[in-house]
Amino acid sequence: MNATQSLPPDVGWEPIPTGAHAAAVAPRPGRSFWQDVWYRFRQKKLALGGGACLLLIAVLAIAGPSLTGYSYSAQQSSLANVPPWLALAKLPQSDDLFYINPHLKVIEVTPDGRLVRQVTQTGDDMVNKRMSFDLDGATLYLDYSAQPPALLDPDGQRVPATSHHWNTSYLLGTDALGRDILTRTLYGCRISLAVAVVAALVNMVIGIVYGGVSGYAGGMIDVSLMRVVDIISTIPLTLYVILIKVVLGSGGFLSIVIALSSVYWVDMARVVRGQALSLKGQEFVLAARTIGAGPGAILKRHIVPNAMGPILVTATMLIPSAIFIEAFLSFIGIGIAPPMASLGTMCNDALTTLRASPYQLLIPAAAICVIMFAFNFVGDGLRDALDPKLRQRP
Amino acid sequence: MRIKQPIALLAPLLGMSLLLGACSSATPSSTATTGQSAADGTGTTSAQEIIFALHDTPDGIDPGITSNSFASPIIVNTFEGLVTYSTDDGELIPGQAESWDISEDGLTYTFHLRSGLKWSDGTPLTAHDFVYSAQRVLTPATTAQYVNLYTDYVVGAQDYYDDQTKVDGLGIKAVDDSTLEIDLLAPTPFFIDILGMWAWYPVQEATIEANGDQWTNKADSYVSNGPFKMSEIHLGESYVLVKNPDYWDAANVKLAKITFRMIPEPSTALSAYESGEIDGQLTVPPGDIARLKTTDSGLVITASYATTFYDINNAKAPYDNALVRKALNLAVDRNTIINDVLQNGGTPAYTIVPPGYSVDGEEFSEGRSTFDLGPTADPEAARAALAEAGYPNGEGFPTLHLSYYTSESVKMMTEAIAEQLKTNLGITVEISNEDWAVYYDNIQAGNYEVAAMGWGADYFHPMTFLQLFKTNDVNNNVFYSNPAYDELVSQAQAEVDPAKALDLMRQAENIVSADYPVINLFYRANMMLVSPHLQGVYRTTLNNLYFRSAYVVE
Repeated sequence: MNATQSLPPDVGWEPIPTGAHAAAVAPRPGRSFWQDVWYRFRQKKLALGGGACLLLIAVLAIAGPSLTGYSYSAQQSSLANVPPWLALAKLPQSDDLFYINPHLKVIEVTPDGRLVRQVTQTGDDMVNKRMSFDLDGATLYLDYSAQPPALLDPDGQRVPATSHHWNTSYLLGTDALGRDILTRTLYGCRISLAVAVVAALVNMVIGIVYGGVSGYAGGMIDVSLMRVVDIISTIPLTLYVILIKVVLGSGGFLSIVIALSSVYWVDMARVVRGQALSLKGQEFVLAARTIGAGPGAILKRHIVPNAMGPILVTATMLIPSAIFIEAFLSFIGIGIAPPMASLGTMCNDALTTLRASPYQLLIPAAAICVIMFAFNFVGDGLRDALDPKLRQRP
Repeated sequence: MRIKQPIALLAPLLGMSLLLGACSSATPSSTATTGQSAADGTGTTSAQEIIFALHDTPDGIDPGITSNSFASPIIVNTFEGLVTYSTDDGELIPGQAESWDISEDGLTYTFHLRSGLKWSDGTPLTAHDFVYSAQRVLTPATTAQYVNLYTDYVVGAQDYYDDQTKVDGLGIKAVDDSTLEIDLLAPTPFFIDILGMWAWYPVQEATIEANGDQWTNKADSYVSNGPFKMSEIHLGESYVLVKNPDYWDAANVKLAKITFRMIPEPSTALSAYESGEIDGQLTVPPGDIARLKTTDSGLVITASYATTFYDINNAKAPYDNALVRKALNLAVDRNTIINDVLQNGGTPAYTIVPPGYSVDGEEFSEGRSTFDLGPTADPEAARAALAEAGYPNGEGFPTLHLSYYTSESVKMMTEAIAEQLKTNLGITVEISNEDWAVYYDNIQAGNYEVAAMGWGADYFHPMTFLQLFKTNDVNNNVFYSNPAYDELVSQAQAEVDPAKALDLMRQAENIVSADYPVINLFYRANMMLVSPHLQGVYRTTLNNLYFRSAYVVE
């Protein structure tokens, strides 16, 4: 074997040029835990989108109802059940167009999609299946002997609804009582977000304190506090709402808020208690105790901050379920009292007209979906970002 | 009877709707849905068997006890009284009684029962059964809801009700097995109409003795005397009726089996109807009426002798002031409610008695005043009336509590009215709702301010409405009291000459309408769905649905 053999020339090892040395070893700037979380959260496009969506909804819900120009309760009954997207018929005797709603009301619409009025019905010939209307002194006929119902021109010919236009008076249409669905949806989002805030506050305050005290104190205190939690969590929330409604004498938003705030913190309390139990045996807690820190200070400075990950994840999962509970309670009629608009009551109101006007259900249902998805995506993103097991150094 | 569903409203013309009601099921039609169901044989069969959907479970099906309109389809098809209604034109015709005589003074009615009448268990039915049934209703322990249909008219009924030993004084007696005699307190021209009400139907003593108040819960013990008898009872789910071979006119009953299926949501029932699973349903969801009208769906509109209104608590301030009640009446836009909210073209109501009753061609409602009310709201007059009552522009007026019972269409109507009262009067309105049973208890206890209500006639006579405002009447839930009115109603009840009675009743109605004890909204019609292959179903203006003459065609 030849001892003088050198490295093959093509291996690629070569000395570092002296000028580049400093830059290559320059230390990466250190990141705190929360910077780290934020970095990983940013990587999740869905979570980011969900967060942006929530911000947008919040802004719309707070500012929107005053911008639409309608109140959530004002009724324009003559323009009820008009969808956002109109199929219009053009008649030779008028510049305006006509929309026939699912209940055979004829609505006059300007060429740019503004609703003018409901044309007055003067008669209904059920034998020949023909309705008559009074249009500025002239008689207008609607023929419903064939599907779809159509207006008749002066020669008696059916005029098909061929032109389409967006409803520019009511962007998302009107409900069965002639209320603006856009305003009501935004109002419903406002109530959903208010419920989210209440749920978050309750969880963050009562849940953390209760669970923290229970877990840290341990012993009999823990046992008795946790049995209270068990009792509360075995009674369905629906029952609480009904009971509170009876006690208050009236339903509405208040009873939902009271029900949520009195019982909705139990899940959080359990999570925090579990965290407190495992954290209180750790060295840093022991160290804090040896230097004389009181239980309050230990909970506040050591246990809760260290349990923040699971707490945030639980909160972001509990908030959408609170929103859903409100919508559900309102849907079954024991939540928000009419005429206040909640997404749940809007869905319920739309059920009777589902076959004729499905958009009345689809719009609030879509709003609930978007809010739920947004919260869940944010929750997922936070969980991934906070979970140390999923941590990867970039 | 108390009806909780103001869903079906009057068709544009009452006469026309009557026509439709009478001939609707004869409409030749071959809609895709019903055609299909016949073709593929699902659900309905070509045999004389049908399934009909009801939406509300009645509080009971004991004819002697309930006043609940939900029980009507079951009771009127399984039982029959002395008189019944024709399924051709809705006129009163002899039922279990073949004929009757009325004494000169109009005080004694003698009924001759048909020969060979039998209960559905085969045992004979005699005049003594009618006496037993009457005494049972007049026993306080029975808790009958229609006691006043006896005590107001029959000699000794009130005394017997108060003291069960006074049985000899009761004016309902069996002369022999087939002759029944009834003595009246006053000659009541519409007494025969009252006999059409199921509180006067016979019930069998043997089964009630054997089973107590459980006799209506089992098909075997539910012994009846009508065209159909009970075959199966599945509480809250269905009632199955089969033809009663012991019925006196069984030869003319064609249906072999009727299944009344309980489907709470009319829209759910509509899906079943359109898929051919059921042959008809009692109520049509308001949102689908226009669509069903445009297709040959079997939509049946029948005239109804019923009014929808809102009770006002006349005993509670500030509603004890007639001016306040007038303001509420003026602030309501009846046309909007009828045409845009409930969307089925009813007739605006300004008084309680619906049109339809006439004496010698003179219609009760002819030439009736509108009492300053109109089809649309009159906000100025309403505010003026409220100002006169001491609340200019609604200032100082306490929050109005508007209550309704849980029902989709009533909710819509109530929300619309709340908004109208708010904008037209400048007052604040709060809405609340309860389930029917709780709700009605509160109404009867006077625990309300303004509340959704309706009244359907028990017999075809204006008195069924006018008694609602008699002082201390069991059904006077608005606590209206006016001695002059009470006097006129009593006079009208005792008046033998129908023309004079009509005049007295008109005077009475004028008095009560000018005091605005309720917010009258509209006179109703009924809408139901009956598959085109099911013919001969008849719904009377009193909202009783008869299947006696119904049959299935291929």
